[in-house]
Amino acid sequence: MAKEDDLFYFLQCATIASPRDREWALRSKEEIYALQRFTEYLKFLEGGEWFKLKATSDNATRWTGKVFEGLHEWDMELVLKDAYPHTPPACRIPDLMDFTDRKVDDGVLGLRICDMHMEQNYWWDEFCSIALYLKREVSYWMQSVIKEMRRKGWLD
Amino acid sequence: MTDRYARLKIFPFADFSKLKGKKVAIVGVGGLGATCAEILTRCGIGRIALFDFDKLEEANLNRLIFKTDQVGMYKVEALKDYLLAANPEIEIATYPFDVTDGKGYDSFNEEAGKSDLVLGCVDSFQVRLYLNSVSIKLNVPLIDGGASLDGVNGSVHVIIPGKTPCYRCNKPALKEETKVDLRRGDDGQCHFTSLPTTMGIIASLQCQEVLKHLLGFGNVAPYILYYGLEGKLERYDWKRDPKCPACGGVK
Repeated sequence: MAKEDDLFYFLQCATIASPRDREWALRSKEEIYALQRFTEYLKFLEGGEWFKLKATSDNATRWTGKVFEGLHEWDMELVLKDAYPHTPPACRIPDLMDFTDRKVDDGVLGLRICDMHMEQNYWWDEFCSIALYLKREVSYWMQSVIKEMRRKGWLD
Repeated sequence: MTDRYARLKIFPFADFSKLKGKKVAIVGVGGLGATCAEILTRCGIGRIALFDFDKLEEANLNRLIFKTDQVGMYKVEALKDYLLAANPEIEIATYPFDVTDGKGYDSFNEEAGKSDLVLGCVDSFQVRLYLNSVSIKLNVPLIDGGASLDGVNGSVHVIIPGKTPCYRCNKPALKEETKVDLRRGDDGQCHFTSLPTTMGIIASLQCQEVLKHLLGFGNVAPYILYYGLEGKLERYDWKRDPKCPACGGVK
């Protein structure tokens, strides 16, 4: 993990369990706890949250919410597949997908944000949480896509 | 009539008839996976399980195997027709599903458990991580292939749990080896060029290691890098990382 992110160990989970495992209930609680801590961190130390996310399935494998940038807001979908956390979450921000090539085909979401940044920085492991994924991947993806959209005049 | 395996029967280093009793699972049947499937089919492997949720698009036609009139079909179904035409003696199972979720997750775990080997031919880091974890969990060798973003270089990684380094063990070595800033610029995209020549070379290297491992000849290379611009191949004999979070505990 990169040095500047060492302080974010509190966003990691302790239990390695997939949605079909018996221990998933525990992992799921840890995910929610990490998301709450991340939200608090953003609120009190970074001056505001840039996302809202809540579980929309009973076993907390489907999540929906919003991401914010200035006055803009977009819907976000996030899926934890059966192979999670051996594979990272799959995330889609539908309204932004048409404005970028940073997307890949996904078996569940159709299209999702790409994992090239993650691959080249090689940071995901089974202890990483949704919160860490949002912090290190979705925020990077959004910033770079938004920057490109502004450069091309597609966004104020 | 001559025997379709006549030229393989005179191969001096191994008995190719043993291949009939072997089973492999191939994940991803694009440029790499389809070519690997063809090579193994023609060599007379016993059974191949093909996994890919994608349908064939026109943009895939610059690579090998697939035909124009197959556009719109599931890649695994299109490939099955081709393979059976090439060698009707082999058994082929097709799974047009995502191996990380639902039906694909179940069927892949089942197939990987009874396979002698898994071939990773995917273009996704997420799926590679998962294949690595399945390989270690089920103690099934994984031979992963990949091409570089510029289409001219590639690598083959042989993961034999407990013997060779896994996908995670390689992290420090890879970083040092590439010696370039890997952080992507802000003008990046995720659909990269793909050359049929590089795909053919990497798929052939993968299959060479498959045959060496399954038939027990030669010296399996844990990691091979191919540099297309220089026309150079390099073999790396890396050590396993005893503290690897994925395979450190495997004996």
